[in-house]
Amino acid sequence: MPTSAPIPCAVCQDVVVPRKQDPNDVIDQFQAAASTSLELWTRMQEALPKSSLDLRKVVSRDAFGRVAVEWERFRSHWHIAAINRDSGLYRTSVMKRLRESVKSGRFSQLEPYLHLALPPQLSVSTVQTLLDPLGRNISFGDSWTDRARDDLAAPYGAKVTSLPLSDLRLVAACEKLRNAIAHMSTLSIAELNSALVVLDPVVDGALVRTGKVTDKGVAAYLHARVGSERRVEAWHRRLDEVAEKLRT
Amino acid sequence: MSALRLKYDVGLQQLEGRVGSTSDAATTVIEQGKMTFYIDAAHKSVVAFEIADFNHFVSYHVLFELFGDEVIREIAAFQSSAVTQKGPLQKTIEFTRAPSPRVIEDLLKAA
Repeated sequence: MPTSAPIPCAVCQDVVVPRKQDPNDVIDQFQAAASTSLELWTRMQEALPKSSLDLRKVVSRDAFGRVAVEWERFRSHWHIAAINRDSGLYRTSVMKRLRESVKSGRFSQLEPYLHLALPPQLSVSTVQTLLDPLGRNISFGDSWTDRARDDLAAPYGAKVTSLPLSDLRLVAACEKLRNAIAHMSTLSIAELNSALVVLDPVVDGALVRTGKVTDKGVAAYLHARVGSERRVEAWHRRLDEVAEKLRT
Repeated sequence: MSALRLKYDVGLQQLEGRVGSTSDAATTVIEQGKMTFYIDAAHKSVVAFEIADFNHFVSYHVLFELFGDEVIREIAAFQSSAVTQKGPLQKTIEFTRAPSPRVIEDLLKAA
């Protein structure tokens, strides 16, 4: 079988995933999804009467939710593809974590004799299983640069760690905004407010909140026009830009 | 009016924040991710904090809860200029709102 042939997913068995994945293709897929999301948002805005402001806001909130979910999927798939492309550092990282877990456990005396026989080429499916046997997206939280430093070979890891602070803050805020939309909890709204106030005022001035955003105000925040575009459009554009910076 | 003195160590990529004048009070050290807080438990006050890997730091929530909008906006602005070395590596921020006692309590509980 050619090495690029699809193989069944180790997690769900019935979804076929490619054996190899080019991280740049994952970027293309995200950018296409972001573009489709924005196009759908535009069509829905055009279809709604001007008087339906509440509905328009909801459409903006839903469009952000769509692109934020795509973004999280993209980050996860890009990370997996980068390991699939060059797994050198990841192998070292896995071995280190395995040693640490054994060392601190019941069989600590076996730690010096540990040997991990990973396959020479880690397929996409294998990497996914190693990262999360349940097949969930990787949850980076605010530790994206840490994970990139630990898991990814130089060209890929450096792409993440060399992102400007403005981009890292934007990505952190994107996750907080998505969480606030999904959970509407007091904590998620508070975390959203802290993330939106530290966005770079030069790069992302339009996205910096001007007042406190409440659970009911998230849609209004996203639908607000600041300058030439609505915030939801700016979010789509900026996430597309950050993704592009990861291209090798 | 209180003062928060920030100092960024380029070599260590670490931020040090010191609140008010130097205190001899015994402090409780609380580590939370990349942040280390030094808290005067007796007076329920933050004496100092350190942030490791400050050039990639984005977890502003606890600082936001402690100090509020204006202070974290200033810290973020300092971060942007200091880590790129486009600005000074030290800064003093004056603030009026006392760090939240509730958040300090929560930090102490987690210690």
